Amino acid sequence: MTAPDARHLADSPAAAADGAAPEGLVSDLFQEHALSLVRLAVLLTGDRASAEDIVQDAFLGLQRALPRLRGTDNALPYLRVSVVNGCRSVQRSRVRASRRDIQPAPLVWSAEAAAIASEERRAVLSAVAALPQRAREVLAFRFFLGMPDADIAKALGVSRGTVSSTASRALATLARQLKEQP
Amino acid sequence: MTSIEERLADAYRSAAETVAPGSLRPLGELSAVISPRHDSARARRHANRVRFRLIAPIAAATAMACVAVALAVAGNSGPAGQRGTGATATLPGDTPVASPPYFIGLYSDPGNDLFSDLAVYNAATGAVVTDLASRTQGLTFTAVAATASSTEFLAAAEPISDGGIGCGATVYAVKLTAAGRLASLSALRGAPHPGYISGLKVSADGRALAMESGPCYVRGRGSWPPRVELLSLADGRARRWTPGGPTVIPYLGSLSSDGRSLAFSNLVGEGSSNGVNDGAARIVRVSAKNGSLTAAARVVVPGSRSPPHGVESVALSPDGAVLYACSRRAATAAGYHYSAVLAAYHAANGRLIRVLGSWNSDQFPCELAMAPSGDYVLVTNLFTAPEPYAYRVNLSTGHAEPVGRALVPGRAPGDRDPSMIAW
Repeated sequence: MTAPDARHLADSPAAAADGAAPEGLVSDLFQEHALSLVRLAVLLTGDRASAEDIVQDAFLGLQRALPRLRGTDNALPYLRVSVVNGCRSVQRSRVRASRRDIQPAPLVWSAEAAAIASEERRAVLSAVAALPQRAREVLAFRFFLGMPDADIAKALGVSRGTVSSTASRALATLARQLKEQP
Repeated sequence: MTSIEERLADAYRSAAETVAPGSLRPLGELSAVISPRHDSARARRHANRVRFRLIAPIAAATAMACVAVALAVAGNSGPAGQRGTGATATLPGDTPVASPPYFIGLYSDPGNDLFSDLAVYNAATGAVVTDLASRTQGLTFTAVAATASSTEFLAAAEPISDGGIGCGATVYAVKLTAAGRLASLSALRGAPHPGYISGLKVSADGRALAMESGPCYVRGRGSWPPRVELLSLADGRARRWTPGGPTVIPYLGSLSSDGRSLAFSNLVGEGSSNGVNDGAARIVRVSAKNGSLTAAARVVVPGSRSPPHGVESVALSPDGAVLYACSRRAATAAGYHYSAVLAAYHAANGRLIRVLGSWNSDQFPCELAMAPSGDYVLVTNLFTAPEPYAYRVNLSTGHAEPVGRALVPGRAPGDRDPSMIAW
């Protein structure tokens, strides 16, 4: 599959530089990767506003953490982990909000949001949204970012075998669910 | 690529394109609308903890065979700056105060659970007394433990490298002044240096160290699960157990004061390819054989195979006779799904002694930090601002005193509380 966003995240000139963090590095990284990271966060949360907040937080966290990262090539792994963690927080907040009858913003793949015209695509994304959190993360990393399983494992803090089995089960579940839909 | 993979990739592209290039807010510009995560930015601690336990295991590489040799040869010289005299441990051993004035905790950078710093907190108010981040550059802390002294703690840390947790953990002795400031931070001589340490406890007599640890993680090569060790700092002897089956991801609770009994729990439903936790509270004795942790340990409070109910955290009385367990139950008040119940059990037979407290909370997991005297326990990880950060429970009476919010330095109330504490 084509995964332009993944290539951006993996091979950035800004990220390739090693050594001490140069002036304006975070801004440069933001210019280069914010879009891809926001899009990743949108896929994981379904919420544009939260996705932008998560990515903003990630870059602000990076600013703080840079002196300890020992090399700017560690910045992107840091950002990816930040975004995934931020998305997890949003999911948990959403669960708690729903228990208090707080209506969250409609998800981008909902018909109500009217952001995606194709019903087929909305159905796929809704089915993905019903998967367990880790499965959603593995699928997004693999099929949106196009990352190899070894890198996904490192980013998510699980074994490579777990990535492989999670993806396999998730795809099987999706295939089953989408086939059942009219 | 299969049909479902193509459909998925296509759907992802369409969703991603809802964010148009050039439409993002500039870096640092606040959102006009407060997103749900700002309504309650808590509930990260479970992720923190699990993260360390799942990151750590994928870490892997060098063996720990040298540990036993190193222990036998080096012995232990105790905390910060104290030179040892032979093989006897010299960890703090003064009479523990009933309710120590400070606890230490791990906290993470905003938006990132991967790296953790260390801070000292006032145990009565929860306020930050000292942030140690500036003194610990290049380290990420993964576990903390309290000694019998109210001003001395242990902390496990790893060097930061490769954008992730590094390879080669060290146990540090953290010594505070009476005012809660950092007096010294130095490697605990005689303690082993595994690849990572995800759990750490020390006995009140300072002679035994319990660790959950594993080999290094190097470029994706790793092993799982970690192992649980009970080390005698006095003579270097060690017992080593391998988690698996219903104890695959154990959470160390506490050691008895003689260091011979280790209580631990495991969050029901957590698991890996090596098994799924059953949520029981167990005790393993130093006399148990090396090998399987499940086989070596004895169940004290049975678990439940239906998440989320089960024991989430345990603490052992100094004499090892009473096990305190915090378990998940159904809520008793509207607006909540669950409550956390603190109860005391006979360690010998698992019989319930009494229920000490109950708090409605949907946050996981309940965590206990016992005062070395065994008189009090801090119950935490359940509460969202503006509620207290923790409750200090008198284990004789069950009386619970609220502890004000413990804030991560520089963060707003309830934003990021410590993920793991030692008192």
